[in-house]
Amino acid sequence: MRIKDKRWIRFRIYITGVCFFLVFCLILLRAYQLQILKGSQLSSLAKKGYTGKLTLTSQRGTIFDRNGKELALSIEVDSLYCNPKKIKNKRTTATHLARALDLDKRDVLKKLHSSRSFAWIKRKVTPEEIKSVRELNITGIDFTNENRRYYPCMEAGAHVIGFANQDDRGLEGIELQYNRYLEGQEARFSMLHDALRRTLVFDGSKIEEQDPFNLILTLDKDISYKAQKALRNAVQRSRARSGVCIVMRPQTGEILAMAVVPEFNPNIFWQYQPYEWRNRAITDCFEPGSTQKTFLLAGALEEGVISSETVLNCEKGEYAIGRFIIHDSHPFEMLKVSEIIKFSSNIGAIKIGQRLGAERFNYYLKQFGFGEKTGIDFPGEREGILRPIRNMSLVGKNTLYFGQGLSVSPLQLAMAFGAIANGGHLMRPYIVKSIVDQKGETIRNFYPLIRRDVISHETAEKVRGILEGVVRKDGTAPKAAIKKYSVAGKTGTAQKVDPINKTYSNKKFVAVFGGFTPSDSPALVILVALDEPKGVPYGGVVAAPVFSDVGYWSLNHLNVAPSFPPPTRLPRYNRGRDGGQVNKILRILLKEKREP
Amino acid sequence: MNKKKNGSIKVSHFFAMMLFLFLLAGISYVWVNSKRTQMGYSLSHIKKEIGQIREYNRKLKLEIASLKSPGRLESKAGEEFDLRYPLPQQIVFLP
Repeated sequence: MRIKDKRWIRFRIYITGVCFFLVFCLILLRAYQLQILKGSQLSSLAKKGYTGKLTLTSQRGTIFDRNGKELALSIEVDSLYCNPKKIKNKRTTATHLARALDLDKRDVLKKLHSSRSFAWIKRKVTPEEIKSVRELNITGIDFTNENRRYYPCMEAGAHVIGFANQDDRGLEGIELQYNRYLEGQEARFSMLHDALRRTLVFDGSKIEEQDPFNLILTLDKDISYKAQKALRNAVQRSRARSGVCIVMRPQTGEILAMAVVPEFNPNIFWQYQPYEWRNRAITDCFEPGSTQKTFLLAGALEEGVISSETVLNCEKGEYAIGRFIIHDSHPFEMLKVSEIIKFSSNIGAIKIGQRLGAERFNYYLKQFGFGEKTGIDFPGEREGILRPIRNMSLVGKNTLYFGQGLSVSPLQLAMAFGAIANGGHLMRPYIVKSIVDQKGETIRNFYPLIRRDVISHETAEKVRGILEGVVRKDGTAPKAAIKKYSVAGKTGTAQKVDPINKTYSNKKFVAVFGGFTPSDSPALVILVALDEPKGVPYGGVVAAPVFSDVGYWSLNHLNVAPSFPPPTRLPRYNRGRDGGQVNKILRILLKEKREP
Repeated sequence: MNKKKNGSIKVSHFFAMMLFLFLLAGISYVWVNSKRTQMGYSLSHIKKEIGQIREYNRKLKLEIASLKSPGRLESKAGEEFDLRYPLPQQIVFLP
């Protein structure tokens, strides 16, 4: 090769090298521009392309009873919506949809004619409805997930639990009171997706989330059911306007059941009238009638102005106060204080009251919690009416002794009976036991709270003893007695005030029975009130059987030992097929118990 | 001359080795990325399945709660098994 040729080749190599070098410099410059100068801007632009945020609405928290049984829970259901702009034949579509979803055709057509690109057709549809709509295969109709609230116990405990609306917002009861804990907040998640918008990595890193909490109530689902059933039957039997039954633990103030009639099914609450949703145990007030004598007795015994053996003149059933004459249902003459309560003598109550004095009685009524809210964690509580004594006439002061001229709520009355059952300690009632998170860890506990000591333990014992007489055969409420368990209680038959005449009606009454069982070691306080029962309106006739029924069932359910000693000889059960076997087993069990 | 030849062979071997390592690293990087993407898809799928199972679990809980509701149990016990609440005299309290 000639030297000239060699030089030419070298020159070309140099030129190529320089070109490569220049291209490399350009690449470097571009890289510098993309990575350094525009780096942050471009990387954020790219991130937008492959990351996204997913917004999920978390489900409303679950409500459990005291034994962990579900009382209210939410599940996902499908809701049907449409894009009216995509629907071609609107009239035919409306006809098909109305038929499949059991809707009014005109309503559906109105929605399909909407100018918006989204309209609900039907929310929270059933699986059958979904199937029939899918079979129609209509363009512009689609489904989306929503949460729906279910109440498996239906009417039992409905007035306490309340309900939530279509948008998962609590409207009544505990659902309303604890809405901020139960309500599911919107949860936003960051995620990566590919060009087809498929989720690539769902790393679960939450940007913002607030899981709802679950509530554990003091209610017992089984006792609630029993109370509701017994009350429903009593209201139907007596043709009363309404009824209330409260079951409570006196030592703690825990509400085990709060049954109300008229009842409603919270799963379909919109089919009922608002007055049927009302928890009358808390919102309605009435004159307590003779049940008030219990607290008169407690006050008088506490002050030492009487004893259970004090004998008072009951004036043969007629007693004049100014120009008014007070009557008793029977013409009693001389009665012991215990008999005054047992036979529910109004004149006897006036005589006790006169010894105690209206001011002191009023003081004790306030101490028992009348005229003030109980502090229950429930919306809409009423405090009732307890007027100052100075505003009362002479007859007003005297009739107050047997429960006229004031109004109380069933819950106040139950709590006052609870104070006697609980040795004089007035408790705060409560419905929510604890708030727990989704992992079951307790966030907040609610504990029993003594509001005040009303009477001494000794006085409470004396009152208990006297109230036991009310349920004996010759008392006013033998129907409240519970076999094998001791019962203490008091009847009340309060006349209602006629709103037109503003006088006491002779036809409209509130029948009440309040008490506790077993009276020697109270496990339950039960209050039953029936509004305007027809026929015989006495509390001892219409309300007392509900007390007995609910009490007996609940004591067995709670495994409360009977008050009276079991028989030493076993009864024979030969009726059933296994009667002999049962007797044999029982004999073995008793023998084993006795031998050591 | 031989020494020079031996030196250039060693350099070319070094470069070939470097190229091989570079390629290996590149392939490994692509393989890891591909695996990561696959894992991402399966993770996403599993999370979706977990959500569906949880929801199904809730539905089953509702079904159990409805089936165990006292009203239903009472009516079933009465209608299908002819069971009744025992009368007070039929209950024996053991000491």
